[in-house]
Amino acid sequence: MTDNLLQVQGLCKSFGAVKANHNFNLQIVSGTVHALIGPNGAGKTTALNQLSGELVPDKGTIIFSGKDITRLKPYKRSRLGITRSFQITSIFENMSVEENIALSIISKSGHNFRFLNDCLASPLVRSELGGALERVGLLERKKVKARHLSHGEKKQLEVGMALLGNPKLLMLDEPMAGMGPGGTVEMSKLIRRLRETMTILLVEHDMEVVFALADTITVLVSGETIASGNPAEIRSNELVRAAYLGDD
Amino acid sequence: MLDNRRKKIVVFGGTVCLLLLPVIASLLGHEYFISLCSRILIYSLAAVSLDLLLGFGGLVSLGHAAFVGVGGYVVAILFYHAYESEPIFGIIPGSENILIVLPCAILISAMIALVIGALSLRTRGMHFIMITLAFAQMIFYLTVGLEKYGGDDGLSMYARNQILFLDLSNDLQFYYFCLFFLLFFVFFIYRLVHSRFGLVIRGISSNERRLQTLGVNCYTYKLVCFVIAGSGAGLAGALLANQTEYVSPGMMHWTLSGELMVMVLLGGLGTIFGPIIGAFIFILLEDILGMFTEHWMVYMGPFLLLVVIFAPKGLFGLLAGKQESDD
Repeated sequence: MTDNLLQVQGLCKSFGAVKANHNFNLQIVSGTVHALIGPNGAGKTTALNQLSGELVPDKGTIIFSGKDITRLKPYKRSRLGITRSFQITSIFENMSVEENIALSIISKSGHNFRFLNDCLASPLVRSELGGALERVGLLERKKVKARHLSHGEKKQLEVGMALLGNPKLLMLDEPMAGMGPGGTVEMSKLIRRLRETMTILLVEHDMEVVFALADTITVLVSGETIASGNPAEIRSNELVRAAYLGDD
Repeated sequence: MLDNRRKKIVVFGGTVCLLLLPVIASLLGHEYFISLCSRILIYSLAAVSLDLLLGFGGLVSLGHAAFVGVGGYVVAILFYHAYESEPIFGIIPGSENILIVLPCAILISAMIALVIGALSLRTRGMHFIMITLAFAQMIFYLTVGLEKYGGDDGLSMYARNQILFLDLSNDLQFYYFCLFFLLFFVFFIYRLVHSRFGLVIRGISSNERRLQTLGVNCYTYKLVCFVIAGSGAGLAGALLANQTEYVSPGMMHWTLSGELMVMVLLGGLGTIFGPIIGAFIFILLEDILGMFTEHWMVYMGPFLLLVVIFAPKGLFGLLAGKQESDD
C-alpha cells in the first residue's frame, strides 16, 4: 500500500442532475502504466480534470504521495509533479516552438516577475532549451510558429513540454487520438520509454494499445469504478464484458 | 525583436519624426500644432498601455479611460489643495511639483487598478469586458458626485505643474517632456513583452488552461499586467491634466475607452509602436474632419473598417511589413 503514488477514494462530481463521477476509486502504483478505460460518457475526462485540479470534486479524497490534494489548485499540483496532456493537442499556437519550450521551462521556477531581461537569453532558459528541443526532435524547427507544425510535430512538442521538470505522474488523455498507425507505434514506444522514469495514467479508447501497454487497468462505467486489475483479469471480468459488449 | 530591417527603419524614422515635429511646426509658423501634438503623445501613451492588455494579455478592457481619469484627478486635486493652501483631510498638503504629483498619480491609479483587476480578472471574455466597463462607469459617476471638485463641471487648474529647470507652461518644453515619458514607457513595454513575465503573459492569452497545468498561477500574472497597464494610463492622465489644465468626468467616460481601443486597432494590435501611429491618425482625422463636419465619425468608421479587414496588424503592420513574430 505504501508505494501507491496516487490514491483516489469515493470521488463524486455532478453537473446539475448528471452524476459524471459517482464513487470513483483509483490506486496507482509507482512506476507503472495505469490505464483508465470505459465507454463514451463514462466520466473519464471528468475524473482526469479532478486529478489535475481543473474541477473540484463534490465528495471524496485524492491523495498524492501521501499528501491530500483534493482541493489544491492546478498550478500547485503541477509543482508537486502531476502533469497532463490534453485530448485535443494543447500548445501555445501563436508562439514559436522555442517560446513554447521556454515557457514550460520558466513555469517550473517559483516566479517569473522578471520584467526587463530578454527571456530567451536568460541563463535558466538557455541551459535547458537546446536539450529539450533536441529530445523531441524539433531543434531545426525552433523558430517556426507552433500552429504551422504538422499534427505529429505538435504532439511531439506537447509531450516535450509535459516532460520538462521531470514530473512524477504523467496523465495522458487519449494520446493516440487522431494519429495514423505509424504515429500510434511511435507514441507507444515513447510511453514505454517514459515508464522507466515516471508513473503514467493513460486514458485511451484504443483497446489494443491499452492491453499492450498497461500494467493495471481500471474500468469506469457511468461514472463508477466497476473493476480494477491486470489486463488478464479485466479481459475475463463479467461486469466489464457486459458493459462493453452489452448483456446478451 | 527588431529582427526586421524595415521595422527598424520605421521605428527609427518615427522617433526622429517625433523629435523634429515641433521644430518643423515652428518653422511653418503653426505653433498651435505643437500643443495638439503633445495631446497626441499623451493619448499614445494611454493607447500603448492598453495595447499591453489587449494585444499581449488578451484582456479586452473597456474601462481603460478610468485610469486616465484617476491620474488626471490626482494631479488636479493636489493642485487645488496647494492653490487653496488647504491640506487634504486636514493633513496631506497639496502639491504643484510634478516630481511629487506624477508618482502620486501613478501610484493611486496602480492601487485602483489593483482593486478593479483583482475583482474583474475572476471573470473572462464578455463578462470581463462588461465588468471593467461597469467599474469605469462607477468611477465616472463618483467624480460627477465630487461637488467639492466641481462635480459635473470638472476642475480647472490655473497653471501647469512645476519642475526645476523646465518651464512646462511653454508648449515646446512640455512637448519634449511628454515625449520623454512616451519613449521611456514604450521602451519599458518593449523590454517587458520579451521578458520572462512577458512570455508568461503572452502564454496566458494563447492558452491559459495549458499554462495552468504547466504550473503557473495565471491570475497573479494577469493582475500584475493589469496594474502595469493601469499605471501607464494613470501617467497619461496626469500629463493630460497638465496639458489641458483642466479635468472633468468626461475624460473617463466609456467613449474615451472606446477611442483608445480604436487607436490600438488602427495602429496595430500587439505591435507596441503601432498605437502611437493610431493615436496620431485618430486625433488628426478628428481635428481635420471636425473642421468640416461634426459628424466626422461617419468617415472614421469606414476607414477603421478597411484597416481592420485588410491590415490585421494595423497601419504599423502595413509600414513595417510582415514580421517573423506575426502570422
